[in-house]
Amino acid sequence: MSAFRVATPKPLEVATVIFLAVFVALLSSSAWGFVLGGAAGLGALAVHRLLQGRNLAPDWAWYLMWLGLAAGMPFIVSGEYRLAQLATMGYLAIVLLGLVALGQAGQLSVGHSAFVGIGAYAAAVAVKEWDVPFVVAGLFAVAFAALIGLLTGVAALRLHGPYLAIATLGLAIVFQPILKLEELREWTGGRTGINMFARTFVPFSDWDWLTETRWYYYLTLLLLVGLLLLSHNLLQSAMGRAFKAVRDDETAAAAIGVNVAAVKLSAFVVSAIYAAIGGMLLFLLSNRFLSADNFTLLMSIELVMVLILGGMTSLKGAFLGAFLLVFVYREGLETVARQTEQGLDTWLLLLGSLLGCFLLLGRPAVKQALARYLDFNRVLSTFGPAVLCLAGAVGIGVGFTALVRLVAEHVELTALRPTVAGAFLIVAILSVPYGLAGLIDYLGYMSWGQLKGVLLRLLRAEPREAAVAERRMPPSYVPMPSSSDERA
Amino acid sequence: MDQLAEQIITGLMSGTVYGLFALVLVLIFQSTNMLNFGQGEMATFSTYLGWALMVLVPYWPGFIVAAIVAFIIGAALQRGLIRLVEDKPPTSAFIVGLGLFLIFNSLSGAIFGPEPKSFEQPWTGSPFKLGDITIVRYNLFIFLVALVVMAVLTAFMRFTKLGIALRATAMDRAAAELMGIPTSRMLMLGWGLAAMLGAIAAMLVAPVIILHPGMMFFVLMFGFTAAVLGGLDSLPGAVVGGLVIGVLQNLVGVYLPDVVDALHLPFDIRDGNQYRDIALVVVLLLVLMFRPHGLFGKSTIERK
Amino acid sequence: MLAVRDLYAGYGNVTVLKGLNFEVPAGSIVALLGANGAGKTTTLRVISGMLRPSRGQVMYDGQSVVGLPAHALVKRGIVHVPEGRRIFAGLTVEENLLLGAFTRPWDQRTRQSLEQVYAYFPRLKERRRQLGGTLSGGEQQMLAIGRAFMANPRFLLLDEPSLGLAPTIVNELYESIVRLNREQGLTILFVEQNAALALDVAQYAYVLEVGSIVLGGPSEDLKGNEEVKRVYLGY
Repeated sequence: MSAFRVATPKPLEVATVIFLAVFVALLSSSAWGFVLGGAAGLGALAVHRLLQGRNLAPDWAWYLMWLGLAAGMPFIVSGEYRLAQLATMGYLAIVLLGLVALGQAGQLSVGHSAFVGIGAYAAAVAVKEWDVPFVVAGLFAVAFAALIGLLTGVAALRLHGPYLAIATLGLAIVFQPILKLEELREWTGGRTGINMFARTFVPFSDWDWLTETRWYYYLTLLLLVGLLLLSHNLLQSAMGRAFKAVRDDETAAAAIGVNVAAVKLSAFVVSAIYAAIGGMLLFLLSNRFLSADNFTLLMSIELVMVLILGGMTSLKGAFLGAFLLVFVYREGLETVARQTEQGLDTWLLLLGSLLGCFLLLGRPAVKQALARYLDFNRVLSTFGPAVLCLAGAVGIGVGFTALVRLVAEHVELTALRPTVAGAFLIVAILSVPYGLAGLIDYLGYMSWGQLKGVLLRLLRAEPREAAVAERRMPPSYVPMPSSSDERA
Repeated sequence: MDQLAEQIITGLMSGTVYGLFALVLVLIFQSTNMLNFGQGEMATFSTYLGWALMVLVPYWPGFIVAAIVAFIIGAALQRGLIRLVEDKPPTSAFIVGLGLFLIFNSLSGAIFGPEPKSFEQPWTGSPFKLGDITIVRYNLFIFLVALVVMAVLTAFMRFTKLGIALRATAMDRAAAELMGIPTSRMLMLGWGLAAMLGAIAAMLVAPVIILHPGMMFFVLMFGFTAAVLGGLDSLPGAVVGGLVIGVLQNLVGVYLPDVVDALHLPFDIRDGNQYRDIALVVVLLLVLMFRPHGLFGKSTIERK
Repeated sequence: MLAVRDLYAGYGNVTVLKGLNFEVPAGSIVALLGANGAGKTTTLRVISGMLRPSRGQVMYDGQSVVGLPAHALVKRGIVHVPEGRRIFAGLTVEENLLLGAFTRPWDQRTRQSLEQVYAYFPRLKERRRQLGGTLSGGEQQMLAIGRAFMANPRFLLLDEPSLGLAPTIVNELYESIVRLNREQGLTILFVEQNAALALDVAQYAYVLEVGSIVLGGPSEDLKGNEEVKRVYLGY
């Protein structure tokens, strides 16, 4: 019996297999993709159980599966566009890895679009002006970004929470006018930007199977894996522990001998380097075309948005954030907006009902209030409120649909994508502050029985005290430490 | 010499708007402990409303109605949303501000279109001459309106019961509650006021920088710089910071090429105007480095 | 005037008050004694509406006031002078005092109260235009009490008014407190670390230990109690 229990997949594992099947099917636009993705997931699950039985590190089954799948992607996807999307996700994940590391040191930057831009421009300028191989250009870009990171990092050194945010805001804002300077036009191309569409950077041109996009994809993958391992080791090392010590309490960290300034500075420089590497890849991926208008404050804010939604407390969050940005924010919402404009109501109903669930079901107070009116028998007072809430949520969904339909006559829905994203960001920071990664970790520890318990608790009207205790957030979640004035 | 005087006067005049916007940011930071990155976009949105109104009605009614609508938006936001972050860590409030940024930025673009629009400019005509100094009429208009608004605000904050209670709430909310002040309503009032003043500042600069969804990016930055110059905790300090920024901007724009020439630096600058915003960020970074609590540096807040 | 019945309260999962019962007769001065963490401040916070109890009742003039927000209780005459004084450092002395009268219209009667406060604490009158943050600790405490008086209270809660003050100032302060009780008929409940001083000032006293009252009665009786002598008076 115990052997069977070990073999039973946990909720998270089942969810992962389903996700893999659907995701690969989407990327390959074929039913075979569904089978392939599902098979990869089930295979990893099987190997996981084998390793687990033998007391080996079973999680490697999953890691190797992800790596293998990523390596095979160029031959699975349905076209160059899909591959470019995946490569974009890769470069964003690199940038986000840097921001996660920065977050571990308790800092949040709204200026990293500038470092992405610096990486992209520095690499492009090196190739354009000095005609160096791309590897050299890349190293130059990294060195240059590190230097700028060091300079701004020093400025930000003594800053805390809000002041740091303002400093990085300045960086993001000022980057565009600098690129557009007349005096720099020779290098940056001023307002027109840099266009090297004709140049390719493919070393083995006689290998037919390695098309340009595939080459860039593999380069991104290689860098991503390397930087992931680096981040992982960094955060596990003494340095990583120093990061967390500084995040939680600077004074205490200094008291136990951590060099707070050095820690903050190195975290900032590391994140700048990661962003620059991402920017370098962005240059390759964007048809070697760069324009100052791409690196605005908006880009920085989108990065912070997916960092929070993905979860800034673990490396997983970087991948989830990149996935959210490319496949949910850009493609998913775009599709939803287009289909809605063509007259499909399903998405709006779903979205509105979800909103309704958050508003009604997520609040114990609503259920308690309803429970008081439904106090005729036990079942009715326990589950009646949830049923009413669900009905109300669907009602809100219908209302939401009608409202958007009304709005859509005057407004282009695709332009409202950031509105939806902003709303989700706000809901996320208020209800799931650890982001998607936090949710996944939470789910990862759960058995089916516990999952059932959680869902039941969500549906049940609870006594007041218990509900209050549950809403309290763990105190350790403070990525950006509070400013010094405290509130009672 | 006259050119210098003219630049300083022009700078002071545009500086009042930055001061006004910095005031807004400080008001929110003091009362809610939140750096509201969405403040500029909220103001942009209200400015679009004002623009739409001014198609139908003359300038002043449109201006006033848009300001009132901005007040309502701000107060409603506090009621519906900001209240929820009060007991959360400051990061949460900050992220909510970024969410507001995304929401209002895209709403402006989606509803009114991304293309730039010209905002009505009252009181046009030939510039004033004061000896050799020319003053553009609209600059004077901005200056006067901003001055009146600030005077009214100061009077409200200093001499009315509501204003004093508002300041008390911002200083120490728990103690204000013990005085019998309904602090949650005070915060609502504070947010409404802030949104209204932000909208007024934005409507004043809109004709100069041309109405478009990203128009407040730089003003937000200037506002924060001014607020930091003033120490982030003082309303008069924020206004002075704004004036400093306005003057600095103008001086850099005109005199930077000459300065570079005079110092025999190994490069040449053709047009100083490109450096107006860059210089400010440099100033911001320097101030943050050396005087994080502002130029008038009361170091009552402990620096960590 | 005030009766606390079977009160439970705490922060998060920590319960501080565990079944508290005591009474404050109208017109009296009552002291709450106890070690750090016994729940004295929490008791005051519950009474003034800053903290919601999880169970129990606070009866004021025969009516329950549990669940009312702090600012509503000020209107009913319960005014709390919190620990650490909590002066509005950026407002002038006079603005601080006027804010105390927030729940009343600012009219002639408020002016009279202001003059009364200045009569009790002449030093505040000298410094009426100064910012609250520039006052000394003793002056700040006077300001805090004066500010509370401006609300026209009937029941005053004082949390460690002597905290961090020099002994001579403490004596002066308590003289004013006693005068407020006698001349204005204010009922006063206060928390004090210095038990000997508290028992001199108060007519009744209660001793709190880990969240419940272990001893209570007229001050004179408590002064003679061996346990109190040993633990709190230190002989």
